This record gives sequence, structure tokens and C-alpha cells, in this order.
Amino acid sequence: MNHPTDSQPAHSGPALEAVGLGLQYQGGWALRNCEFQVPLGRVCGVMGPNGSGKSTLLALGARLLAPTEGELRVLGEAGDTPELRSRVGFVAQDKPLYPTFTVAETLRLGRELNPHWDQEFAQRIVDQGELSGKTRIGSLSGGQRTRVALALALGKRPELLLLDEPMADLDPLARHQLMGTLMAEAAEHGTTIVLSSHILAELEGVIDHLLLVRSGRIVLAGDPDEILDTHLLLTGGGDLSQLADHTVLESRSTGRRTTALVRTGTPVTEGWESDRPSLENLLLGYLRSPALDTTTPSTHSKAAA
Amino acid sequence: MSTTVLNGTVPRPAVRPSSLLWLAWRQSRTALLVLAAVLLLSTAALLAVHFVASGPTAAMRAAGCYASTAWDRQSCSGLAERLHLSADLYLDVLQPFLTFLPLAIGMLLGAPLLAQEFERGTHRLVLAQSVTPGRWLAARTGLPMAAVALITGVLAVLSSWVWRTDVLHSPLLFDPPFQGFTYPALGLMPVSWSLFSFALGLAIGLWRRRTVSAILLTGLLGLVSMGVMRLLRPALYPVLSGFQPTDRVINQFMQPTNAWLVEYGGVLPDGSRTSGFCRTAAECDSVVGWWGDYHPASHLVPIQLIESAILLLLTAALLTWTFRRIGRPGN
Repeated sequence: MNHPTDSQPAHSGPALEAVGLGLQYQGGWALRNCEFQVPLGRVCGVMGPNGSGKSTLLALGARLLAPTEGELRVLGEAGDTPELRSRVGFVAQDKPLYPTFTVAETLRLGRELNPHWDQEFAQRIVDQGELSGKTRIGSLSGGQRTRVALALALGKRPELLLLDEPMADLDPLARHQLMGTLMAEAAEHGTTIVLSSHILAELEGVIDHLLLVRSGRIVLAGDPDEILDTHLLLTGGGDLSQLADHTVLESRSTGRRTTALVRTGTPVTEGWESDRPSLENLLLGYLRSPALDTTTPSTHSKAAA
Repeated sequence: MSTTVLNGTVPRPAVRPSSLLWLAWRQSRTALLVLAAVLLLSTAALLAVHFVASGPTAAMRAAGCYASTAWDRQSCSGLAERLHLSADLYLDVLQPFLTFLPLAIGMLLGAPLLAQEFERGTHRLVLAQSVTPGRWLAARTGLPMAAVALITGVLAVLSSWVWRTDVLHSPLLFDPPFQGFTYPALGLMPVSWSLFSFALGLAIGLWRRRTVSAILLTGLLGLVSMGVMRLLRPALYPVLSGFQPTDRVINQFMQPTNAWLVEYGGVLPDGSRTSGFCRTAAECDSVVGWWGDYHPASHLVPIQLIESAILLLLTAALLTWTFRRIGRPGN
């Protein structure tokens, strides 16, 4: 079996690196001023609400879109070369497959169009779902199509795998199984996996890198644990003006008690109960934070990355 | 297996052309099988026309049926009926079929080819494999285009042969080469119009990205192109001009057999020209002769060559646009 990733990796910088990245649609900017890095070998979750720019980001990485400004370096490459295509796997959100092809023909497409195709691996993913090779793609359920699409992307043995909402159509069993396959692939071959989702539960405990997208801006980027270390969830009856030294991302008051999510380097003690926020607290705080409406998102992501 | 080069890139072999051809064949399989069936049926029909026509023609020639005195002979009219039966199949069915075959190829083969990929999003599936958009498109369009060229080429040769052997030289049949359904069924026309129509459908499909609208628009623009070319055709090659003094019997310029009379009119005693037929008896009487601009039958080949060159240039332009556009990310 020929696994290029088994040998020394071809590239040692970040798997993804955005510099001033922006993409303009007719109606406005889908992404703007994005600055972030995803190191090699990470499992990176791209989180954010629907329409925030997650799919655009992944499509830029797969070179299906070209940026309007800035650049997104993929495995060190700024442009779109045939060589890069063979190193990057991509599954679009709607899992496009040819409906008249059979499952076996779809895998053959992968074999014919990818020089480092791993038939055994792709076949195993399909077999796990008890899919017959003779079944036409058009007659498969959404979850079964996802399985074939993932088999196609994984069989290519890419160094970087970009998956847009890969688990959305899957039942819990299949989700668990395929997530296990993905994690094993990442662990065994050092494949960098970037997967988007708007469901936190899908990614929690799986990802070791996070990109949070809000309205076309990257508001958080980095290792989730490190990010959590620099944030505090404060509860108390204190006055918010006491927190002037810290960045208050969000605060809510219920009666006399106030809860605030702050980014800080120093501990806050006086008048406040301080907790380490959960990932969910953090994400919701950042997605709701009015403070981020006016600040430049790139400064946050730079600080976090 | 894989080697690491000092500059850090791992060389990967390119996708083989045979692999791309497999995909192109798999994707165009149904359409190509339908085209093959069309070829078989049309070939059978054209051969039938020839063999059904050649029997009676030879028999009539042997029996002297072509002499005007033999026209009312029972045996001759029976043979003529059989001849007309096969001629009708060629003139009323096969010629119109060959005229509109390019349009059908553009609408049913060219237009959906890319429109359907974009409508279903499957172009993203292909672009996520280790192949450049240009190479994929070259195979994806190259195979059906080669099949179209081959199939229309065979039909064009057969159609031209039947027209020359069984229609043009038959004393009973008259079918000038420049008229409506005859011209597009002869020579290079089925091939060059089919390739143009295919490329037109391909480009419109990439532009519209919706199968139904691409098919309809290709049909419409294909018809418009045929109409525009019909208007331009007389000017593609210099016409011959003729003058015939009036004999008071025939009130029009008489072009040679099988020629295309493009413009004509009367010549007045002062040397000025009128256009078209004379409308009043006084006008007809005052005419001293008839003038006419025409393309003799010998202009058929040069006109078709020039028309084909124009169509193939347009085909190349449409393909260039399509390849450039699909090679750009963000489509």
C-alpha cells in the first residue's frame, strides 16, 4: 500500500494559513479580514452559525473558490496546482455524487482519478455501512451517501481533509463509527482534518483546534484548552465597571446577579465568583458578544492563534 | 514507494488519460449509445434509399422509360412510383432529420453536459479529485465530440453519396443542392454544424448552470445561428452575374440547372435595372432583358468550406471560453 503520509511530511508549516483573507459575493462579504493558522496534524473544528462563512472557508481551501483579497495557503501553497489537488480531500456539504453511478463505480472514480488511491480502505468504509457495490447512488439514503462521499475522500489518502458538515445526515451509530474512522486516520497517518459544524456536541472532545466564525470573521482560533485558559466566567453581584481591565465579551443580569464572560490574563477575585467556562459557554459568549460587533476580529484571532 | 525530495515536495504521478476516458465514457455512455443507434438506423435508411432507388432507375433506363413518349406506359409508371417512394424517404425524412440533427446534438448532448454537473454540484466532486479542471473537461467533452464528428461524418458521406448517385443524376428527380433541407444534409455541413452546436450548448450550459434553460436557450440560439448563416450564405462566395435578352416568353432570368438564383430583375432600355419579377404588363413589355446573380452548382463546395471554417472558428472560440472559465476557481 502506498501512503505518502507515512513518509516524511511534504510540508512542515501550517496546514492552513489565512492572511488578510476575504471573499466578496454580489451581496457583500462572505469572509473578511481573516487571519488564522491551523497547524499540521490537528483535528480542527470550524464552528459558527448557519451562513457565517464556514462553507466558504472550506471551499476556498479546496480551491473551488478564489479569494477576493488576501490568501489562504494550503499545505504551504498559495495557488492552485494539480499537485495540491492530490494532497487535499474535500467533501462538500451536499455530498455531491453521480446518481446514476453504482457504489462500486463511484469508488472506481476515486481509483481512476487519484494516483494514491487506497481501495482497501475506501472499501472498508463502504462495507461498514453494509452497502452493496451494485447499488445505485441515487437510491441511497442521505446517510449512506455521506458514507460513500467520505469513503471517496478518505480513499484518496489526503494530507489535509476538508469536510463541510460531514455528520449532518448520519444516525448516531454511523456518526460514531465514521468519527472513529476519521480520528484513527488522523492518528495513524497524521492527516490534518478540518471539519465544520454548527452542532457543538458533534465536535466536543474530538477537536484539538478551533476556528469560530461569526458573520464572515474569525473571532476565535486556536487550541480549545488554551483558549479556555484565558477566559473566565464570572458570577456575582459586582459592578461591571470593576472589570474595566478585562475584555468583557458578554454579560447578563438576572436580578442582582450578573454573569459575565471575560477574556483576561489576570485573575479576578473581588466581588466575583470565577469559573473556567465550558466550551459551550465560550462559543455562545462569542457568538452573542456585542463587543465583537465593533472590534476588528483579526486582532482576536491573532491573539488566540 | 514515495520519495521525498530535498525541497520538500512529494512527487505524485499524474492521472492517466485512460482514467479520464473511463470517466468520460461512463458519464456519456447513455448518450453515446443513443447516438450509435441513431447512426445505425440512419445508415440503414440511407442504404435502403440507395438500393431501393437503384433497381427501378436501372430498369427504367433499360426500358427506355425516360423518353417523353414512354411516360404513359403502365410499366414505367409502376417503376417511377417505387423510385418516388424511396426518394420521398430521403427528401422528406432523412434530409430534414440531418438538418436538425446538429440542433438535437447541441440541445441533448452539449447543453446538459456541464449544466447538469453544476446543477447537481457534481463538478465539485470531480474537482476534489487529483485532476485539473482543464484535463477533466478535455476528456469529458473530447469523447462525445469525437463521437459526434465520427457519426455525423459517416452520415454526411452517405447522404452526399445517395444525393449524388440517386437524386442528382436521376432524370426523374429534381433536388437543387442549395435549397432548404438539401444544403444542410450535404458535404461538411452535418459535421461542422453539429460540432458548433455542441460547443454552443456546452458554453450555454456553463453560463446558465440550469439544464432545462440551457437546453431551450441552445435550441433557440442554434436556430437563430442557422437563420443568420442562411442570410449570410450568398455573400460567402462571389456570385456570377448573367444577362439574358428578353424572348417575351419567359419573364425572368433563367439560371443554369441546380444553380442558386440569389437576385434577379429586368433591364430597361436605358440600362437601369429593376428588381424581382415585372409586375405589370407595361413593365414586362418595356424590359429589354433579364439580369441575375447566381451561384452555380460548382460553388457548393467552396461555399460549404467557407461556412465550415466560420463554424469551426466559432466552435474553437466557444471551447476556449468554456475551458478558460472552468479553469478559474470560483466557478
